[in-house]
Amino acid sequence: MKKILLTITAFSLFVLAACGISNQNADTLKIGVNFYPMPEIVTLITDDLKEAGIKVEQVQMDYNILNTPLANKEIDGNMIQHQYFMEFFNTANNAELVIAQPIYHSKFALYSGVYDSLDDIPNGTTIYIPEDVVNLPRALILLDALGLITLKEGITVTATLDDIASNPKNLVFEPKSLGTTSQAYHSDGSKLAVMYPTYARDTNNELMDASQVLAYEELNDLTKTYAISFVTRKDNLNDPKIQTFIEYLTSDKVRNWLLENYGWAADPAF
Amino acid sequence: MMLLLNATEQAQIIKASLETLNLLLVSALVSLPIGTIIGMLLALYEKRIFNKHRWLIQILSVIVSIVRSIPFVLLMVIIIPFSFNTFGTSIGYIPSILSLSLIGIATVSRLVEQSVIDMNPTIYDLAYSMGASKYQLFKEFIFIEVRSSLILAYTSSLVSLLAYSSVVYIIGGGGLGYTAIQIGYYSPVGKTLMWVSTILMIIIVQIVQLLGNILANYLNKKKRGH
Repeated sequence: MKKILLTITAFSLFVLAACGISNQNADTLKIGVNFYPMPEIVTLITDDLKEAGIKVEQVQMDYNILNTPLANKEIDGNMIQHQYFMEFFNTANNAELVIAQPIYHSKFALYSGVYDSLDDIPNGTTIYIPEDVVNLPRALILLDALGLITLKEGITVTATLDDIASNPKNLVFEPKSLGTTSQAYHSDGSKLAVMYPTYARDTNNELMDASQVLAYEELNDLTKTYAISFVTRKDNLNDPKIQTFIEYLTSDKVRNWLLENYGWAADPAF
Repeated sequence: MMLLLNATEQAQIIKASLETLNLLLVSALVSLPIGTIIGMLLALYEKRIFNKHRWLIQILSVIVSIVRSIPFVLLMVIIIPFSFNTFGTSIGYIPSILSLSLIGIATVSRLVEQSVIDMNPTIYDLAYSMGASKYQLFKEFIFIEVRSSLILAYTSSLVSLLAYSSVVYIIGGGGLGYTAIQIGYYSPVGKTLMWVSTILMIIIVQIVQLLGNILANYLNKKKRGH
């Protein structure tokens, strides 16, 4: 019994030690990914990159902490965020992450299961919008572009509910977290909500189709800054491996795959 | 069950199962012995079998409670800087094992403490009346009396560890939680993967529980009559 225990302990210590020694090869790229479709995209180009002499390794973990290993130089890049999330991390942690290549623009839309046009929206309707510091301004920018509200002069990506200059339809704003917006919207009779198609779920918790979309966000210079991007550090941005990776990432193969499999939620940014 | 999945998903699920078993085994190997020692100490001091340096044990007890009260997701994130400074890695296996072991030690020690405290108190009188030394009291009385409920406590902690291990994907630990939640639930094409991972977790829990029950039953002296 003691021998067995000893063997198991020795074995597991060996495993621990083996895992501790990172196999940092010169031709390996470690790319942090998290949500669909990023792992799929990286898998799609892994074989092509191997032929080009670059081995790609996926590091899969929660996007909220994927910037830490990137700043610590444990991984070479990640595909999880847009500019504002990155800037937030840079400021908080004194890091030097940079956008290397935008990948896609998520579609952002105003949903309604009741009204057929913007003019039908009655006075005083409750509208569900995301509550976080990045998506709330984006929702307000969308409503501003649609003419439902106007924001104060010069205020864009930092807008809060206090920055609404006029609200002719007296919309009542109800901020909710991204994951609960769609449920709140349905329990209020599916009247109005600003959501991402990836978070828009029906009452059976299945993804909704585009039938309730009243209006999509228009792509322009401002909304393009919300592109989900491939991010690296300042010091390895010009690394030839990273540049080759970007070359394959922006190939027609990835573009077509994105259009076909993720077209309902995003437009390719290349 | 594997037939429901395509080749890539099969590879993912096999890898994830091995990762989960690895996490479970290694964190259990760390936390069971240490947790047992701490739990025994807590219980024996509680029962006033030992009395020296009481304040040390009280501090230990507070620490155990603190570890148990930190939300596990937060515990994992708190460990990242420590892991980076000590082991040079902030992602994946090492921080996962560290956080699982820490919570495992705390869970095991409380469960062990509970088992020992809940023991029939007449056993102490019996031991004293037979003139047993403290070592004999522990080896011949407490240990024999408590071993079957210890096994059940271990079983319960293993199941907790399995539950905890399903969220270490957040710091890159992988495992069945990753296939079930991240590439299962969050993906529009991952429903099968989600359910297969969940069923595998159910199977692991059933096996652990069954083995625990059998072993506990075997070691239960009240039933074996010696």
